[in-house]
Amino acid sequence: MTVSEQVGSETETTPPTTGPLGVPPPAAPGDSASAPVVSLPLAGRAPQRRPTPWALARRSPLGAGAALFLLGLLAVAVVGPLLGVGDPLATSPLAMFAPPRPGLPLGGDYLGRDVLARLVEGLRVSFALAAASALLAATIGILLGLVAGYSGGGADEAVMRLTDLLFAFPTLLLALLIAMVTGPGIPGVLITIVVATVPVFARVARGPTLSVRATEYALAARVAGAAPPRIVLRHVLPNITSPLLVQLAFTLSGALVAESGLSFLGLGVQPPMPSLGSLLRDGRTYMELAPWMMLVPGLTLAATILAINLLGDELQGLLDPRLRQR
Amino acid sequence: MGRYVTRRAATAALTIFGVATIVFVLMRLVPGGIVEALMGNQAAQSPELVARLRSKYGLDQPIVVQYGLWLGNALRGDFGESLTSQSSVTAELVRRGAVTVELAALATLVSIVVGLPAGVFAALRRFSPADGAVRIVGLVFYSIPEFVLGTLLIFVVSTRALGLPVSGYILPSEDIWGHLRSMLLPTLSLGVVAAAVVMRVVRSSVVEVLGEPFVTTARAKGLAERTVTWQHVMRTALIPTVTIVGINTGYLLSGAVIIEEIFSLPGLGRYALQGILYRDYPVVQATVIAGAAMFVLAGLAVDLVYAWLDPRIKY
Repeated sequence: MTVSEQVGSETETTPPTTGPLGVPPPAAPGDSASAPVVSLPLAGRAPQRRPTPWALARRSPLGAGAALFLLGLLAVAVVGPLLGVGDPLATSPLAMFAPPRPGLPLGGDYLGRDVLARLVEGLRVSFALAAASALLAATIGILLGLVAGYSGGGADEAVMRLTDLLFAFPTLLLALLIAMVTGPGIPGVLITIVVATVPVFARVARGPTLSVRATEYALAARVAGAAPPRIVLRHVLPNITSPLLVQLAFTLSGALVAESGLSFLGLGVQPPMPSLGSLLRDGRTYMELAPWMMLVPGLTLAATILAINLLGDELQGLLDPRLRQR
Repeated sequence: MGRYVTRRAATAALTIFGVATIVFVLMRLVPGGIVEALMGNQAAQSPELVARLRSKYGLDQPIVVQYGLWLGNALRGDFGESLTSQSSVTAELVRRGAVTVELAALATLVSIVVGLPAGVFAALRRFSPADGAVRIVGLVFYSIPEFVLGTLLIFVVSTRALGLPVSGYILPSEDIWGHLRSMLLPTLSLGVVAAAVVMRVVRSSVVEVLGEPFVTTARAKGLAERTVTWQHVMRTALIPTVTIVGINTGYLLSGAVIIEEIFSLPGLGRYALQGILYRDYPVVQATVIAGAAMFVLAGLAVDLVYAWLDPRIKY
């Protein structure tokens, strides 16, 4: 439940109008340095009451349902093999294109592998890849944004021009370019997602860093003789986490779409390893003979993305008073 | 305004130049490089041929010289020839670019025709059940990756025998009706998802403007609700649509690659994918640059249209 925990009452959340990689649309013309507005914790302000998850669920049953669904999928992905669904790679001639039946609830694929076992393993692979690439991108991007925002001047200019340049590549073109260098496979997917998302995190981290740098407590730390790395990590970072966590959530869903899209094209996860995208790729080939091979991963992927977006939407509606129904 | 146009155009040109440079550098990092891609395992057996090929492609020159030559050719619109078919990459780029641009344009049309009215409808009935329904439907289509939607569409159309072509491409010069039929499913797969994005932006934009003081003023001076809605609210609220339609271009370009693959359309995306498969790197390098250039130019067009539409924007 990271999403509901991080969207506290103090930030204006990024609108979920995101592109393929969970990349928020570029700033509207005229405000090139647009950044999420962060109201800094003010001294002496009474602590705001944070609604309990239960209260939120009562007000938004749809959001609660989406959160439960995601938690369920996540649990399946984490415990995976312990569920006793069988070996995702074991072939069996008797189960070739077998329609769903007891003992083989989601049917068999073109090699007679258990589609349910492959779905569970595919969820593990897709989720792990999405999480790893999103975290890596967040780490690099946030560091770049902190350095750019805090030091300003030449470093800032360099980082911002670099992000401008990377924003000029639509994600999939970037993926094609990287696939050409690394060859099809997991490293290419990872690099693509990281390169496409680092500039987003750099932008999101830079804006609030600029305003935190100008605060008195940051100045006080500087006067006390703290070195810049210490000020940035101990004083700036803890105060800009909210927009970064929101961005992380969007990046996770974007990374999931990117991984499955690339695997669907044959540029990502390679056989026999399953992922949501590569399962869909196999399924498409045999869709008339064994529609379950295509429907199972396709609907799972669509439902997962829908749940993430629904949760984001509902949370925003609950927490942003301007969008609330009066 | 004139200065703004110049500055914005210069930025766009610089960006495309930067993209081209990145592409050039990355392509030099391909393991084995162009010669091995051409010769495969034979490279080790015939150093002489390797040397001849290296000199043919200018690979024996210093990297800076190579870059200069390559950039000069690219500026003249010459991206070399394909390693697999020996044909001019530029000619192919133009032919296939037309397919991709048509797909993206048709999808944009669908996104505006469907998304704009749906967004306005939902916003005018905000927080009603109808708005809720439109919002949920929009969210569903917004969330389905276009390749999942495309695959599902093919499945439905082919199992129900609806008689629509699910793959292949017919040239408009051969049969315009057949051409449009072959573009229908790809356009829908791409356009419906983009329509959901447009709908969401239009709805929130209209809702926001409805709360502005000038709307209250218009009502207070006794204007009919219809006049308020159409003369005052929509004129202001619909300007961001221009932006979102422009931003969608990049998204559509990305989506088009996958959609072309699913529906076997001979567009830029499939060209690039085949290029990767055969390690045909003049092809990959040219398609990526062309795609990024289209994206940057679309962004430029949006910014200029925006500046022209919105008199409040001063540059």
